[in-house]
Amino acid sequence: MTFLVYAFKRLLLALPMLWLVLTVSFFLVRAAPGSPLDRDSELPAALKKSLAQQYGLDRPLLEQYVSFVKHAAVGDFGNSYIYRNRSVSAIIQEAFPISARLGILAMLFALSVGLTLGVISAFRQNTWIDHFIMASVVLGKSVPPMVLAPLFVAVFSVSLGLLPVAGWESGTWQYVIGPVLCLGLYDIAAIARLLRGSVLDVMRQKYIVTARAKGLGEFRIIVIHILREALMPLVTYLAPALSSILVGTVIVEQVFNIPGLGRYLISGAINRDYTLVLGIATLASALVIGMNLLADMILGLLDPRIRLQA
Amino acid sequence: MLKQFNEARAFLAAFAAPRRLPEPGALELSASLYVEAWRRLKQNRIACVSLIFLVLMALACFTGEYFLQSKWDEINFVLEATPPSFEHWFGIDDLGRDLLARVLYGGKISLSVGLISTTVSMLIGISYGAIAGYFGGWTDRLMMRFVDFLYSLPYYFIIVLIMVFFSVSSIYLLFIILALFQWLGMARLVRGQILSLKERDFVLALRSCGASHTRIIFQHLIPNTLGLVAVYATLTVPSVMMQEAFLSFIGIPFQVIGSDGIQKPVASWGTLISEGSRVFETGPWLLAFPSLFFCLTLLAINFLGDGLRDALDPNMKV
Repeated sequence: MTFLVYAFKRLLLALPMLWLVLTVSFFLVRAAPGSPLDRDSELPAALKKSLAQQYGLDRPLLEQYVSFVKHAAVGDFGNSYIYRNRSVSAIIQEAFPISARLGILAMLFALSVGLTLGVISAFRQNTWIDHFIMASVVLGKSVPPMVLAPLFVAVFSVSLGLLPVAGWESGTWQYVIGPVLCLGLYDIAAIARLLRGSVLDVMRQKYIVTARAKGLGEFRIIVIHILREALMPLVTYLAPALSSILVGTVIVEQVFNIPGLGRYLISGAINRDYTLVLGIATLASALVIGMNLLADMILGLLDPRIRLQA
Repeated sequence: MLKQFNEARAFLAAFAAPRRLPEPGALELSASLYVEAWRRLKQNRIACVSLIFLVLMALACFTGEYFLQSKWDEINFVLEATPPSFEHWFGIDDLGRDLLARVLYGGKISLSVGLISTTVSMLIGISYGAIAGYFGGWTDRLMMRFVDFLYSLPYYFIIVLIMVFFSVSSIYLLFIILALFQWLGMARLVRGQILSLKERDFVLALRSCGASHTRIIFQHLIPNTLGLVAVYATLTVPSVMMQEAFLSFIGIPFQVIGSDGIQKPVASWGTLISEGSRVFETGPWLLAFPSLFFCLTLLAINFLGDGLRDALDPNMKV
């Protein structure tokens, strides 16, 4: 019961947050100089006027805002300005699964490698394995995707000719493997370090001493007593990481020429495509807020102390 | 079994024994804490090498232009992209510009972004966190709710929005905007520290002497958090540098006044990597040198930050 109350409270906080972010983005976009119709300087004034009317740009700003919020609530953002005949929701529906697939695969890859490395180095603390893993983790953290991705293409696609240079082709593994590796490396480093720290912390707890003193097997102690507790900080890390990895795909999408959300975000922003940018902004905010909400729920479920506090 | 028992006993003994904690109020003791930390840092070989490397890198980037013949933005249409040679150590790019000069200049920009944005974010974060933690209660709750709110913004996105829609042309605005989104973690960290520090006896002593809030916060509480702050700040620098590189890479142009007094797009390491990644098939050195400099610098800062953390917080090592 307490959990339901807690969950309800968090949800109540999340919705106004989403609305606030939307409002901020709407007025940010509108406060900027220039308009999406400026680019077409060769357009006759009459046509421009009718276009402005069609997009509702001639109405007062407040009225536009109200209609934006009303429509956004049901997932309708209107038509894009650059891709004139397509609705923003259609563009998102086409591009988002691609970015999401990349992001989720990269996160799974990072999780599996990062978890293993973190646990190994915690249990072999201060041995050469630990030092080696931690040094390579720092190395991984220092090579951002914008360096890794072109390098990957240069080595595996151009020099060795093993993989295609770029493209997507409905996401077969040859096209996915490079982007996923380049995206995941940074998070491997973060996850491995986080987990090593939290495993070491838990190992110092008295109940682990008790478990040892009871004579439990090492495997049981590690999996049931240590890992269950040590994975908690990971939940807090994963939520924002998963939403930021979706932004991180921007770079990888650019290098590997993948038709994901990142490409539309950049071209929309540069061309002042109000509707497209606001649509992607809404999606991104909803993702971030939703992920944080999810993390709070999971933590509340795992640790009763948290939901009593709130 | 016996081994496990002994281990358990050792653990319990470690916890039961009264631990000597450095008293944060006393000046000599806290001074010796930092002396001790410095001694430990000097023993850490990787951290020392990183520190020396960083000093050399900064020296090269900030003074390099006075020693080089060619300027970073000097276009020479006669020359085409050529690999490294004796005359141009890092080669020439497709506009005939000397890559060495560009890499050093790019380092100057990237390092400045990292240092200035981190400093600004530290100033905001420390004061904000200290005030929230010290006054507690409603002030604290309100201030931290605001931090929570900013945390849940898709902040990369907001930065892109601001940058592109306002067509920010000056690099100095970038410093500020990156800092404005970077202070949150610092505020949380400092607040947590202050929350426990303010319960110590020396704060009570100060209050009973009639010291003002400002004085207690800024002269006594904040100096006691500086160790952790230093570690956090060191690890913030690479993340800020990466954000700048990200923005440059996706093609947001930042303008600076060039050596001829004309506004032109900046050449930070991010820009150079982005330029290089477009032509790496014909000129791999154009990608290789900026990437190498960028990654080595990030690596050195990360190693230094780790070293600092180990030196200031020996308990972490057990």
